[in-house]
Amino acid sequence: MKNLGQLKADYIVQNLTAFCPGCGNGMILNCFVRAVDDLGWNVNDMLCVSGIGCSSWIPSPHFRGDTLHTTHGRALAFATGAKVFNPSLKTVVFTGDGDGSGIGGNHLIHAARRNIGLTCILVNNFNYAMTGGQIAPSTLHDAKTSTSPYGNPEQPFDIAKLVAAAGATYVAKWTTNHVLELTRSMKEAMQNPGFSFIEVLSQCPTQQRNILGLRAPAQELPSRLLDMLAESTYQVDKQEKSYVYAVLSDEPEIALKAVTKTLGDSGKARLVDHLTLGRVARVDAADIEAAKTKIAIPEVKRVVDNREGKQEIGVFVRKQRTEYTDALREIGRRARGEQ
Amino acid sequence: MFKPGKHLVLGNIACAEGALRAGCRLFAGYPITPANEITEYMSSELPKVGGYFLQMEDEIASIAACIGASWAGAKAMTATSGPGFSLMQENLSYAHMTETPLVIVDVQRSGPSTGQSTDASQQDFYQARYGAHGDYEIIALSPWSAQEMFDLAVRAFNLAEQYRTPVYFLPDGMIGHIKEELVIPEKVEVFNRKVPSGSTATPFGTDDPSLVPEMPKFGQGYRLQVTGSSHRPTGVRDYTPKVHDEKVRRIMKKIAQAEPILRDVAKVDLDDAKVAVISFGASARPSYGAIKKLREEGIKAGLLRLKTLWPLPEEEFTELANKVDAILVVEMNAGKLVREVQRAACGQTKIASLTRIGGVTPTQNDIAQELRRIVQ
Amino acid sequence: MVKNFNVKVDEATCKGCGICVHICETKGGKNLKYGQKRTLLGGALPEGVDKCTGCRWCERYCPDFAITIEEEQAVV
Repeated sequence: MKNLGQLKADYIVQNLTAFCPGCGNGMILNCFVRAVDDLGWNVNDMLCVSGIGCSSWIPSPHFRGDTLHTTHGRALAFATGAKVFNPSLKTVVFTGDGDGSGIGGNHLIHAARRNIGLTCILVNNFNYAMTGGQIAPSTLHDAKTSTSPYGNPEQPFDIAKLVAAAGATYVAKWTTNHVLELTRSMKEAMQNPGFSFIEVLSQCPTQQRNILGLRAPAQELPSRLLDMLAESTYQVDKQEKSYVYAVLSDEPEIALKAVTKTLGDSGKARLVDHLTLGRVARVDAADIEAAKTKIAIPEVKRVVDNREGKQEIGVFVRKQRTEYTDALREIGRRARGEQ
Repeated sequence: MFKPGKHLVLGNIACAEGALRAGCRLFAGYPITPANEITEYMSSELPKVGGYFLQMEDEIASIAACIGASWAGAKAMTATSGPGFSLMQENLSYAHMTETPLVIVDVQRSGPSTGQSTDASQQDFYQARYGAHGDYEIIALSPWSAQEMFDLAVRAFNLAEQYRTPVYFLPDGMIGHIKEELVIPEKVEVFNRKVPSGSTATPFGTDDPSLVPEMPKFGQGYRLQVTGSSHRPTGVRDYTPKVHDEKVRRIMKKIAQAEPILRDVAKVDLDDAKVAVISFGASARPSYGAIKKLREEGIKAGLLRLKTLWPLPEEEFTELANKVDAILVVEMNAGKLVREVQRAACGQTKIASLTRIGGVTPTQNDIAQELRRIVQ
Repeated sequence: MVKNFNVKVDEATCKGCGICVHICETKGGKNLKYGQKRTLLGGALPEGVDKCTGCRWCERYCPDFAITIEEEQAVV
């Protein structure tokens, strides 16, 4: 099995990555090269296309294959032209929540509708990060960002659902904290003959520290954001332990002491970061109903079910449908009278 | 596709025929009046010759697909009109920066905005030249007949390949929709882009005096880094002033220095002319009639018709300005080419402007009348 | 035959993001810690303080391709 140094030597052409410390994009690049390596793909056969934004820098300038770094939102359209003319190009498109579902939204749904045979990896960090953290179609309602100083008046897309509805034949959603699942998903996606789409919720320490109000020292923040992503997502068919969240009405550390005290031996409480609830106490207990009664104390504002405010992750769509370049070849046969 | 020989053909169809003969094998477009005949013809003919027709979701995607396909090795083309052309500008800027060969047909209708969607103009004279952001030079061709829709379309593709650049093909709506004789030759000369010979490629720099780099394509193991960001000859991103300056100056000089070769004008009765018309495209047709009429009246009139619109044949303008007593610039817009002629003429002679907007060509009588007026 | 695992962190490309230290603690072997050393970019440089179990979770999570686990076969 290759170690990371060997993977870097085989697939990465720029020594120091362009990303901020702890950025999820580097992790996605890590998963991507592993997927390519596991599949045994030759980089000479690969084309990576990207738009504008931090995630568009995943392939260009880092990856050892042919890369096409295009204009904002349009990567899928460029990729469609290249793939149609040379269908043997193993094509992967990297985009972001702004680039892909904002300015590029139209191209995204049409690429899915056409079922063009390529993989689109959309990195969602809930804002336009590269330009300073402005609201994006993925930003949560009421979030304070650089263009929503009084709170975001808009509501976000469910991007994976949008693309599934548009007709993609492989749709999955993971977070950067799910490196094994993400790598496996990338392999599945890249082997799907049609349009594959993976949305990856990702940490952006630079902007999310402001948008989510999550402040921590430089070597702790990325990990806290990673844990938040895992904490704020769930897989539908996965067995969950019994736990709830306690939204606290006092300073988290102080309130936690009260919660722990009242729980005694019947359960455990610890502070976690939750994407929509903020810094809350997660209460794990064998008898969760009893625990809920116990923690009805002044320091607990309300108790929240363990799926509330979370995003579903997993593989949502696996299906077969005529792929676009196959359909074009059929058109050619009909035009030339070959049947 | 038509067989070699004489045919009666719609201008737009002649253009598409020329493209196919020149080796166009990918068309990506979006419906817009008055370019649809090109798009529809391509949808039926391209698959017959093993090419690909894509109808994209908008004009932005159309030009993007052309660029992607060109880098995969295709001779690619799109066809649109004013409003769609406006949408394409950002990606055209990308095509200039990445020196991507392709042909953009703008069958000009009357604007601004939706304007007279089914009528003609020459209003995109400057949009073609300066519509995209940044500094760049362009090659633009202007046909005046169905025959030139064919011949100049072939030339457009060859120039795109030879100079590794987008080439703008600018008929107006009238020439797109005119039905005229088209003679299709047995053979058409086709030029192909310079490809790398070895295992490495320098896609964005060259020592060749033509300043045109070789053009590799995807899937050959070159590990290409194609980006719209400022870059070194290898393609690696570099924002330093010197690198950016070198890149942009080279892509501009590449075309500017080739002007004498790119120049393509038709001179009618100019040798002894005392008054001249400068025009192009559909405006040049009544201009031709007008100068012939004036000759019948004993006035020495001549016509300089531009077939290569950009780069402008400024030498021809200056030479003519030094020779004749007056120049009349005839165009179907509010006065664009005339500004360039004024600039090149440097005050050497009287320059008059005859503009016609409203979707129609100026009439032969209008032009003749104006010529008589200025010759006094 | 016993395998020994050596942690190597490239101080030129490590950005001191702390993810490997956190992952080692929560999933792996509690080997990676921060000491006094800094990376060339000025961040905290992680070091192996205990025996590395070779789980390679740090390699899976590193955003910068900066950490490598090298295997040596120690002959028993």
